[in-house]
Amino acid sequence: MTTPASQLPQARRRKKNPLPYLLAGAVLAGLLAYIIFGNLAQSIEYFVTPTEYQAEKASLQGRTVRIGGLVKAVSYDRATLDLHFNVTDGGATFPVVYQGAVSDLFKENQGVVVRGVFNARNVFQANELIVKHSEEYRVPRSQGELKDMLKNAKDANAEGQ
Amino acid sequence: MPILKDRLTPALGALTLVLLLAGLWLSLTAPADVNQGLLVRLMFVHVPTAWLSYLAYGGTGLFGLLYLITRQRRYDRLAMSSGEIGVLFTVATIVGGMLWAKPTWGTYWVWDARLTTTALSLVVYGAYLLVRGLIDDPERRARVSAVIGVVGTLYIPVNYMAVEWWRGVHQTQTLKLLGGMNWGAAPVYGIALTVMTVAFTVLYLYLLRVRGILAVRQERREEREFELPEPQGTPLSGAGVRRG
Repeated sequence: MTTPASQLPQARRRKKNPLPYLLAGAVLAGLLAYIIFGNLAQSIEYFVTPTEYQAEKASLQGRTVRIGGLVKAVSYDRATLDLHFNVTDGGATFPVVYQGAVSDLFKENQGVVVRGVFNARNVFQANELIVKHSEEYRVPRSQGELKDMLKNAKDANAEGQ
Repeated sequence: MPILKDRLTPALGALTLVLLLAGLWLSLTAPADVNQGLLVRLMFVHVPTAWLSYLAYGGTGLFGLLYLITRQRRYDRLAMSSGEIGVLFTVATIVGGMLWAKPTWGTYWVWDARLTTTALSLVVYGAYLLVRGLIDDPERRARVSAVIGVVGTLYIPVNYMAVEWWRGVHQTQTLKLLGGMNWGAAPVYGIALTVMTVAFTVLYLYLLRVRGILAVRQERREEREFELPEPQGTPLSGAGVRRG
């Protein structure tokens, strides 16, 4: 092998353009940073239950928290979008106020996760409301259920118009 | 592998098409759910895409392991193909899930454990593909990426169990597999979901084969380009390559 370095086979190898790799690396690093820093403030458990909040009231007071529980005593003003309800897990119950449109699945006894703070009157001011739904899916069992379903769908359509 | 006489690939493609059409028909005629109405039909796409992404990431780990044991390059090609399919279908799972989440949960995205780990898989397998692109030596590339692929397989149990281990918004499995099998939905949904899941499983095999064949051709072309200047000499990186 006395060929000069410039004629060695390696030199024939196509030079790869580094730009796509740099871009892809930057995108991945950005996504990772977003995931990490987006979640630093919260624990891996997405929410606390009302009972847990009650128990840790001293340390959580005045801080923005997510509380997850069941919806009770709903009152919703469709004109002003003011929503009042209680969130409970059986052990503790807190009044919640929220303003805005909610998912069609929001109803009495539905699981929700609300994010916000307690105000001076000990009412939970939610600025984010997520409706949880069950992993069980079933078709209506009776004529009554079917009629309810159709009625709800009609109401939802009427609201959308 | 005689590429031109390949009958298995078109057969898999045809079977995929038939199963997908049957699954779509069953999905689109499935009755409305008592709570979320027709939105329940999104399950027949969302769950199979998620299943396919698990399958594909599992394939990356399995073929990576096979490569490390046998050192046959074809396993490396299959691991890479599987990884690409996994990323593609994870994105599909996320998009389909977001479209389902908006009308039911009321938001496109929440940072709960299931969704966060799913997003993390894009980082892990994106890095897997990125690392492959950065290493020129095929043997080293196969070795390094096989290790990432095998370790990455941990994602599957973590993501699957995320809804059980941590409190989140994502609902738990409808089909319970651990602690006694149980299907928590109407049987009619079970039929549609089963057909769609089988269809997506065959789709995975089909895509894996197509991508694997492309990878062989790509590799041959690269080797040809590399060997051109010195056709009589020993190819430097082609030495010891066993073709599948």
